[in-house]
Amino acid sequence: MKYPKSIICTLLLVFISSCSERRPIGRDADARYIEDSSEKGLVNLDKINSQDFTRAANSLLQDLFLTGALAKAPNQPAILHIGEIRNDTQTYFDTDLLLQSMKRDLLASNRVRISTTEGPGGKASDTYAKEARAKINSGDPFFIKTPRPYFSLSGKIIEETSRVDKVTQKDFYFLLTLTEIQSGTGAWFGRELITKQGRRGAIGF
Amino acid sequence: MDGGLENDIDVISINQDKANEDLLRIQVNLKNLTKKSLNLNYKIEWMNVDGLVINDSSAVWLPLYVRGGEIVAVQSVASTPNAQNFWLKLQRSKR
Repeated sequence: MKYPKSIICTLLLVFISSCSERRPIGRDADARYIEDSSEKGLVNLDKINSQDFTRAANSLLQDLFLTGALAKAPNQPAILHIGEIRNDTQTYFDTDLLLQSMKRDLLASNRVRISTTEGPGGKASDTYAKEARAKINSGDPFFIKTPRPYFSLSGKIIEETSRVDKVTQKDFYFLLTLTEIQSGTGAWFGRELITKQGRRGAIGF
Repeated sequence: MDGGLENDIDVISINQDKANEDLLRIQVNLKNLTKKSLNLNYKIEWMNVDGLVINDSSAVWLPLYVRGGEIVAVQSVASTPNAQNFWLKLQRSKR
């Protein structure tokens, strides 16, 4: 069976070009770094993104500082335990994406010290520090087993979806509660709502 | 301000006091000088006494919608007692 020369040449050309080094060229080669929480970041409807976490952390902290709840602790800085923050949205993420920047700013405020050796269910965020601390203090008669917390921070993140025609609206509620442990009552109830609306995702806002 | 916004937005006044006893709290009152609604983004950056920018969660672009002729208040609280001054950055939103 004989093939025409032109078909053989075309197949050979396709084979050679597929073996060559692949380089992104032209308009498609547009990957770049963008700054943290930049307005050039992606705006997606389906999930909470980095800008949303930073916005929520910022707004919740501003509200917490405005209420003056942290300044009411008799001993300053008071010890704060970070309790459970439940993710009740449809996508998985680590709640430290919200909490880590909040912890940093809370510490900078000089109003609280944050325990890293105690956590919900006895789990510490730094297990080595917890073990080392227990070992060091085991021979000390005045040893206090755990830092005595004055406040505990807990909460949940909820997602609500609404649709009208082809427009989707996603509401993400960040609900945090600061509890005064001694009295067992809430010292602050924070609520931050981040709403995104559109037909599909966008680049920048 | 960005992209000719100085013709559309005016800073009417700035108020400040302390929150949580020692945290600087500011309110910038802005007026839309046009008859059209403006979709803006703003960001507040806090600085210490030496003018160095403090890296905290405030440094994020937030949406601001101002109707024609409306006066709006942009508020922020510093996260550290070291914050002594601030920058308010304004730009038009892309959509």
